[in-house]
Amino acid sequence: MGYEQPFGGRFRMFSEGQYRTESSGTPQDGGSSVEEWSLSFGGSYSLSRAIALSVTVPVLFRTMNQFDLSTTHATNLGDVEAAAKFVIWRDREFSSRHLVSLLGGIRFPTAPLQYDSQGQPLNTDIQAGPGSWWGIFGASYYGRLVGALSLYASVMAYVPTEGRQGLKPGASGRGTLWLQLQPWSWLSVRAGSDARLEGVWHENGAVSPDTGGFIAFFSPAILISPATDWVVQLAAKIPVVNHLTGVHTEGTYASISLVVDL
Amino acid sequence: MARTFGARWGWVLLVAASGCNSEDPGVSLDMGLAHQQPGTSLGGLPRALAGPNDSVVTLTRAWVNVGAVEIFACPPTAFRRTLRFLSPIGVAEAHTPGSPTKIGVPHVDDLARPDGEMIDLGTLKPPADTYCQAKVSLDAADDDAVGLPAPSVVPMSGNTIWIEGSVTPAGGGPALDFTLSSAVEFDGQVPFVGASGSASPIALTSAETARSARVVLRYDRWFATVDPLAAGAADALVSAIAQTLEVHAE
Repeated sequence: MGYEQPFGGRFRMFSEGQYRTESSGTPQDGGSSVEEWSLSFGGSYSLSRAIALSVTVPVLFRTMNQFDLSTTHATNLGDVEAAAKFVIWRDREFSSRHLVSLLGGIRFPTAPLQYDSQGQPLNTDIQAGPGSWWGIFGASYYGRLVGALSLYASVMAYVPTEGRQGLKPGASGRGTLWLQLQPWSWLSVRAGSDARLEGVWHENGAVSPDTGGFIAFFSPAILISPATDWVVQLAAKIPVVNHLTGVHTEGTYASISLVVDL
Repeated sequence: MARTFGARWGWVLLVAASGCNSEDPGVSLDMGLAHQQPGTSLGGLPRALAGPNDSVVTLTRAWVNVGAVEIFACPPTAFRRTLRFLSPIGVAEAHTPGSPTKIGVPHVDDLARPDGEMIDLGTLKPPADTYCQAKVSLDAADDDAVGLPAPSVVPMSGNTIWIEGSVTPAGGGPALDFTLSSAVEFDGQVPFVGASGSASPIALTSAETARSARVVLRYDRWFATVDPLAAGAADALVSAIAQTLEVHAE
């Protein structure tokens, strides 16, 4: 429960609500803190036992507070992401215990540029996206270990093009390592780590301060299946290692998601 | 059921994704630049000023470049110092060009403008605090300086001041013309003052507080100690302009 293994004709829909906070900068350099609620909706379809395609459409609700006591609220479409998963190896055809997959995708610059009441673009920290195209590449491994214990690991690279207004996001590498225990068919618990190593961002050719660096999270989750084909997940990402560059912190991520097999 | 669920979420996304944003303004300080002397209001040049040794200095053409204005919060009280000492979170004190507390766009003031007429230097959106003083930098104008006169009028680019006029000695006599230009840089760090001339800190401590302040060039004091005919008068005049600056809180 919780890991999607492709088999031909499987169609899933999912939605996720997530809350997170982030702050960067100092009072002297116009720093800000952002509180974000996001709502994502998507679907995935398995063309075969080897190939699955998915699309995720996020909507972001952001509030940015600055040291000058100004507050900006923005609600907008985020960057839509399309992804594909190719299972390149499994240990056996049926009831596989080990799967190795390649992952790839594109994140589209669908988040519109947002303007203030004077017609000036809002601060980049509150824009729902940088206006970049992102290439996504990676690989994953799923293995059933012993009994009800399973493992999932993945590494991903996100490579952006230059975005709007001279903004060039930093490429990032992301890693995931989760252990999941499913004592009953309707309940699983998961624990692991997510980590991100990100390059600095550039703005008009100059390094943007307080961008890039490394952060790692402890990632617990509970997955509940209240009915056949339905899975509800409650998850958190708690930062435990913060080596983000400059004055930059991220808070705990909390999310609830729902997956439905159609 | 799942299809109904999906359709409803789809509508929620569609409505939310239509996009909207709103802003609640924070604190702001609108900075201006003017030249004036108390008690009079001249419409332009020429301007007759008191010079050294009871001479009279008459300005016929004059430009001054204000390169930057930076504001500074009042020193923390003992209580705030104690809180900061006890706080485990460090507070960065660095300043950068064009920061929320600094306007770095140079503006050239032409004394042919009427007294008190303000040039808008820009609006600061500083961290919420109470501000006690400003540092006004006089430096050489670059080609992008706002209000830079055309080169055919005066070669102000690369100069901090360009002053032309004449000096009439005490007791009369022939007026002696002078032209002073200098590229030296001086800063004036001065407290905000109110209409009465006493210190008047600017409190920017609650949201939606919008205040204004103006940098005032007190040209009536420029030649109190500077003899425009003496050697090194141009550099001394830039120093005198910096030392006689005022910043009025409004």
